[in-house]
Amino acid sequence: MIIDIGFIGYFLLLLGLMNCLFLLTPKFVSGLNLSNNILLSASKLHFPILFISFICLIVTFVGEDYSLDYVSKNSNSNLPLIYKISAAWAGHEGSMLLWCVVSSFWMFLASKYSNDLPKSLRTNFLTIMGILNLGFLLFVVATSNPFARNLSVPIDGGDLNPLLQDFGLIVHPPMLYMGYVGLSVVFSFAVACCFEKEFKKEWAQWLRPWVLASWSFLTLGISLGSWWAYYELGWGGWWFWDPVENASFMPWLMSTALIHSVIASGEKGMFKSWTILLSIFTFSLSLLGTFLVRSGILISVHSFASDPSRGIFILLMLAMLIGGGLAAYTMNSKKFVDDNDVNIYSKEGFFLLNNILLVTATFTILLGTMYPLVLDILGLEKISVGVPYYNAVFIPLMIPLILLVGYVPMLLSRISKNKQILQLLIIFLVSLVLSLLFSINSILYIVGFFSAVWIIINIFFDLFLYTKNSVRLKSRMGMYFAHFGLAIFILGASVSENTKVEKELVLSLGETTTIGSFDYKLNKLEEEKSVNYDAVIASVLVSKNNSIVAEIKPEKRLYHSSESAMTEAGIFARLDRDLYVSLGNMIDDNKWSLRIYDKPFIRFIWIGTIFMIIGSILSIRYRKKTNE
Amino acid sequence: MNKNTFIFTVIFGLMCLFLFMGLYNDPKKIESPLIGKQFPKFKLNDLYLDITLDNTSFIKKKTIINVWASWCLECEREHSYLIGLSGNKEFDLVGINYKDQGDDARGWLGMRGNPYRIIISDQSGDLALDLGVYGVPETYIIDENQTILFKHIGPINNTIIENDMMPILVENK
Amino acid sequence: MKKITLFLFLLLSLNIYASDADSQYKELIEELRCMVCQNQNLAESEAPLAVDMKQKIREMLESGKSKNEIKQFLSDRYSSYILYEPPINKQNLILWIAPFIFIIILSFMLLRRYIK
Repeated sequence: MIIDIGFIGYFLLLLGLMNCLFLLTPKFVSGLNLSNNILLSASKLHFPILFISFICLIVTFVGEDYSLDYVSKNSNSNLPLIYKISAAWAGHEGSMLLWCVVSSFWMFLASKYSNDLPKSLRTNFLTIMGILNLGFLLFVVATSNPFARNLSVPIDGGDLNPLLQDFGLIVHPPMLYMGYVGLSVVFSFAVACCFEKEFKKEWAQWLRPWVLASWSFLTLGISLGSWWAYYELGWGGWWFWDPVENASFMPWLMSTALIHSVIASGEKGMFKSWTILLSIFTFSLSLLGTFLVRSGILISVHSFASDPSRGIFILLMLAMLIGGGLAAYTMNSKKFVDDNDVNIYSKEGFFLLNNILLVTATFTILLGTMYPLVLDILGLEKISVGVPYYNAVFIPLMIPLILLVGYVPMLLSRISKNKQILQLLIIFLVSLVLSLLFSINSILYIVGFFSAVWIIINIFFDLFLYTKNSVRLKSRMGMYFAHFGLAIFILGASVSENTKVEKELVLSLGETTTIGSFDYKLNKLEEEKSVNYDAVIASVLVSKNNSIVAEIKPEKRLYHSSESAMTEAGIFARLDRDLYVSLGNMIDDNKWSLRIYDKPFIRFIWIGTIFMIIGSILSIRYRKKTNE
Repeated sequence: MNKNTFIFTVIFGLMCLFLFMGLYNDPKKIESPLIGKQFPKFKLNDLYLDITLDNTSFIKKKTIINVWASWCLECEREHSYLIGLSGNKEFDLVGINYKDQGDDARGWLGMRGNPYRIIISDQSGDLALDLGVYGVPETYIIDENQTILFKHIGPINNTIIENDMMPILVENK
Repeated sequence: MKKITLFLFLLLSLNIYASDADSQYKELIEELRCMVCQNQNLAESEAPLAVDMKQKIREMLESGKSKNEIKQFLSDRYSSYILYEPPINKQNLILWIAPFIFIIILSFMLLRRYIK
């Protein structure tokens, strides 16, 4: 007899549900005097149960078990093995199961590393995490069961959306989910603190690495998503202010604010109630993001699933969790008393300004995302909110923030005020002159270039002149890396956006064209048959001053099972510029429309995010060492 | 419950309500700004005859205007409904042939029957642009004074004809 | 002071960069939505309707129409849904001013509470 893996997977899901209920008994079933050990072991056990269930799902994909509806819709026998595996989380059902697995993993960690917390806080904290896990799992079992059976078993499956047959999209969702769901730890802890009516310094310090870790994953996830869009969608954009991107960007901005305020709470016992509120809001925004993406109520490039019953379920959960969290907060917010007052001219004062700007920026994006929807529901004229709006509203908010970021090193080094003013003025003028020298084609460019230079000079100025003390250096390294990453990102974004050369044109075989400082020749057109698609591969020779620099091979693929055409851009990437070619449509037998882009410094966008993540990891490590 | 809590509760509740209503909202439906406006001025050739058609070619009746093309697969689906509408004396039926080759269009109609009284041949798509057409097929209704009363995007069917079009076509008669 | 200097520079630079027809065309097609696509602008899209519209925009620019006239022309026909920059009118007032109101209220609340 063949073992039915799909059944085992489903059984484990149900077992997970039971486990969650079991986890909640010590808190909610009074009179039995149940031991807290139930809570601790159940919260650890949840992860292995769901993980194995998820492995079962992968096994059904690899084993081509088309009796499962989800498998038959998202995979077929011609798919390469790696995509069969990744198809397990490419569709709605599987990705929601992945969400649950990730959530159970965070609960596992939370349970493992919370020994030092007071007992009642820990109990409440883990119980809330248990409730969240129960909710997510219930959602999967009730509305999105990946192990549901087909009524009749098809001979072969459908297809994995060709857009998703790509490395970027294999790793993007798990990373993003790690970030989203990591924030549930922060949320649960904050709500648990509300029940304790206290938010002690040590607790804030305990919370800090969790915020940083979630933030790092979010950054990585968003960055991967943007990189994927850049090379896969075929028009060279890396950020569209698309509702789905906004859904991930809002919790990112909010958690960036939280990273700062939680430091103040941890070191000086300040902003207690504000940090708690931010924690609740941050996770609420990740839930809202999930709702917006999963319910299909927004038109967007990435929206895959839509089904009102699922939407209602998520909405209900959203309302209960956020409503519950906020209720717990409002009932107890008066009890949080700060240990110290804040001086505006101090690190904490800067954090406050930082928080005001970042929260406003988040609000702006929320408004831009929700406003068209609200108008539509009210029956008013439908509008689009896109790049021009966000440029107009978001960038002005970022300018003061960046001025602050640049100022921070000097503030921390406690140089006398007179000296500071002089030095700041010098750095300001140097940055300004530099940016005017390099960037003279638009205001946005000057502002962007200036911002990057301003931050970088300030950091290095401080590194060379003042921060020689190694303890001090260590304590700031994370911050410097992250802020430097921000500067690199801004540099990449503003240089590439403002000096890019973009051309759409038609080339015949053998024809040469000059774009920017390079010559492009359509050298060859080849046809290639792969297992699950046919491709036309063009070879474009790039030369400068008659010497060949690169051969770029953009592809146009036609996938067999879905009959959909996909563009695979060809990119010649160097540190200082990308040459980007994508195939458009065939005009004639040997004549194709092409998009050729020359994008200087675009790599810096993603390099910047890597620096940010390194900074965040350094901060986590540093905090750990001082605790030991 | 203090004032702030109250305000936040209201905002929170409203947001949930909007999200809920959003679930039952079709994000793809866009109201045309041309409803209630005059049908745009045009001067284009007839698909069959060598004559020029313009706004005076409409007769003083309510008129259904259907934008179609021989290359459009969805047009196939609605064609029998248009044939069904074509016998009616109450209103007129005019076609706009959108970005098509004359021969293809005539051949396509030859196979399936011609429901239209006249067909405006819009090869460049200029009239369609003035009408805000963004996908064939599209169906419009104008009144005796050439005011646009109704627009539907996508193929029509019995439900749309009965529920949406007929009330406009035969009102006040 | 710093901000004022920056602002002055911004104002100065505003006048230097007048845009020519080609850059106007590029700006326009990036600010207009492809009506048949899922959230793409005209520049990104190769849908037939988008190609037609780009052609039309080019013709209109060549015949001396201004950016705003073209936007008006298209939104009269396709509704302001086609504009990625929502027009500032009664209906969209909240969208444009709410960020300012929000930052004022938030600053007031936080600064009053924490800065002694």
